Amino acid sequence: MAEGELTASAIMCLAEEVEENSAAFYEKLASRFAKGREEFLGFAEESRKNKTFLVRTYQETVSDALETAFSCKGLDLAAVEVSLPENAGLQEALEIAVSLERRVSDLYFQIAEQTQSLLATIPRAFSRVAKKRAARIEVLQSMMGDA
Amino acid sequence: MALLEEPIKKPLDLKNYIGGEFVRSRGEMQDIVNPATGKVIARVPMSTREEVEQAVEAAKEAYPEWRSTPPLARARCLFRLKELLEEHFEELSRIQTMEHGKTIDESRGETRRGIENVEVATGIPTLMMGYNLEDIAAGIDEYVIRQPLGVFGIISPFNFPLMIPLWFAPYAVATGNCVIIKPSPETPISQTKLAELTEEAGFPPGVWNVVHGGVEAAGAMLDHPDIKGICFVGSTPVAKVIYRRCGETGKRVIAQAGAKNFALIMPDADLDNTVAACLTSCFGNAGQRCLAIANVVVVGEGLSGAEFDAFYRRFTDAFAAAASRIRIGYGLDDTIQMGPVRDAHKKEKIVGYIEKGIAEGAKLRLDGRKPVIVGDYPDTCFLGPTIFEDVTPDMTIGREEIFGPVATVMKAGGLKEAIGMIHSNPYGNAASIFTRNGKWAREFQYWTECGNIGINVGIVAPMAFFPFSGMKESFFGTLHGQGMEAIRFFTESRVVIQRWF
Repeated sequence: MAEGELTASAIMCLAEEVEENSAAFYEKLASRFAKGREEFLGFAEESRKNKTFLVRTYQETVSDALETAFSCKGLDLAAVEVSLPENAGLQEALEIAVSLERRVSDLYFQIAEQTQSLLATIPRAFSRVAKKRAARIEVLQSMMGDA
Repeated sequence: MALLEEPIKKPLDLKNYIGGEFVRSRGEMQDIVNPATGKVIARVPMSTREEVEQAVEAAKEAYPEWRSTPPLARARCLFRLKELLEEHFEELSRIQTMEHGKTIDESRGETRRGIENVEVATGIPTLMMGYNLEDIAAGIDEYVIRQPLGVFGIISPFNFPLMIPLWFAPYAVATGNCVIIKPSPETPISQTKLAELTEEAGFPPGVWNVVHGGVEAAGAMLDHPDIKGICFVGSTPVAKVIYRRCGETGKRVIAQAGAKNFALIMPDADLDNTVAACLTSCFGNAGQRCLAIANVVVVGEGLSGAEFDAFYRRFTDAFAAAASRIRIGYGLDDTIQMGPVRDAHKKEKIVGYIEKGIAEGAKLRLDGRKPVIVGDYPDTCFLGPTIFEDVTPDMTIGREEIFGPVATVMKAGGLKEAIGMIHSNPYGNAASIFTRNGKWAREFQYWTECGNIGINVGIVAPMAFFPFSGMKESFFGTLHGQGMEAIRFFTESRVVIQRWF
């Protein structure tokens, strides 16, 4: 996309992918590690709710009169990707998870900042989910201490 | 990014929806082609006069029972329709992209605007209330009751296939009338899908009817003595015919017509946001929007000659540079920022205007005639953004409605001169000003003869609870679509004066 410009629709696709990948990642952690299973499943469930919340907010806000074609630029799209090596132990898995949450929350805060022209609802929704994702870091780090 | 899945897998044979049944028309069938891919996605009938008459009969038959259905019960049908529209939000949006060509964001925006009208109409038990006054004379009271009139016709254009009939139909049925919608024969699929949803929502047979077709069907609606009013959105020449013929047959009429909208860029405007707003307005929906900015006027109010030149250059450079980066392609690819125009004939007409602009001496700053298309699609209907500079209001491209992705840039020495330029144009649909100066904004709002005024807003699209206004050659009628004015349009104010001996 020209100079990294993203349409509102593309941003929503990205967010859906982020939350779906995140949910799958935490489900994998839950199936592999008994310790922290409950937290991992909680994060997976929360990600699916985040996805629903973001898509619903967009669909309820989008209007033909908004500047949706030129919503964001210069975003770090690497936040979408997350994978767990086959032989990763719990410590490594938690480090990957912390990195994921940092990237995702940074991405969402950036989107919130750049979508101010799309009424209040969309930036507010991204800020809200960004805070939730950032809050996971503390939980994950406390688990690292125990691992 | 991958292409979003197409909801139409094989060509649809569209039928009329009359009296609660989908019925095959005897009229000739025409192909509906996806303007991006060139593939046939549906066939639409050109219904006959007799088929319109059948729809009127079905609507008339449904009317007495529907009008006596309690408003709250009618509202419940609308609540169910709203839920179904939400459920089918994505499917409806993708259908619009397939039949019209607009981007998926634009289609979703259109769906949302349509739903908002249904939401507003659900408030009918309150909206339809009359008013009263006791003791207008000794022991005498007077009150007004709003009553429905019967059958209304809605003739809609190609550019917003789902939304525009919803500026009218929800209010018409909420107030107890029955409707016959004739969608544009160019983009008829959305209204067919909507008819399916109205059936599922529980509207009784005959309350909501759809008759496909062209001039013959529209003429039959205009002539029919039992159609009490017509809502039309389209070009000015057709709107004038409709207005006249409705006058002859005693029908109420809302006729929303063409436009040539101006945007004034004042020296203190926030440049980045102004450029983004102008891009969306000029080139969104590939410029096929009656609220699109067509003429951008850079205003040098309070500036010296050199300052004005620098400001003009700064704006036009930013505008042209941003427009040149717009990604063009199939709207179901959500990286796309502009889709094709509706068909090859429209493209040809727009190209004709571009050639006329060059011939009349305007400077072609950005030429959209040979666009770079993302993806492997035929260029039949695609155009890129085109920008002309050195345009004056009397040039053809500065005066006439092009209805495509063509923006002209003009210059005005001051605000008064710029408003004069707007007034020299016969249309009066919308006009915008971009400024941080409250006084300039107020002057503009106060003096500009246009129905919809934008202050730092590029597309002055009224929300569902406000009327969609218009003046001069852009509107023929008195009351407008949407909100309370629509309620008034679809009802008679019955006055009762009461005394008991």
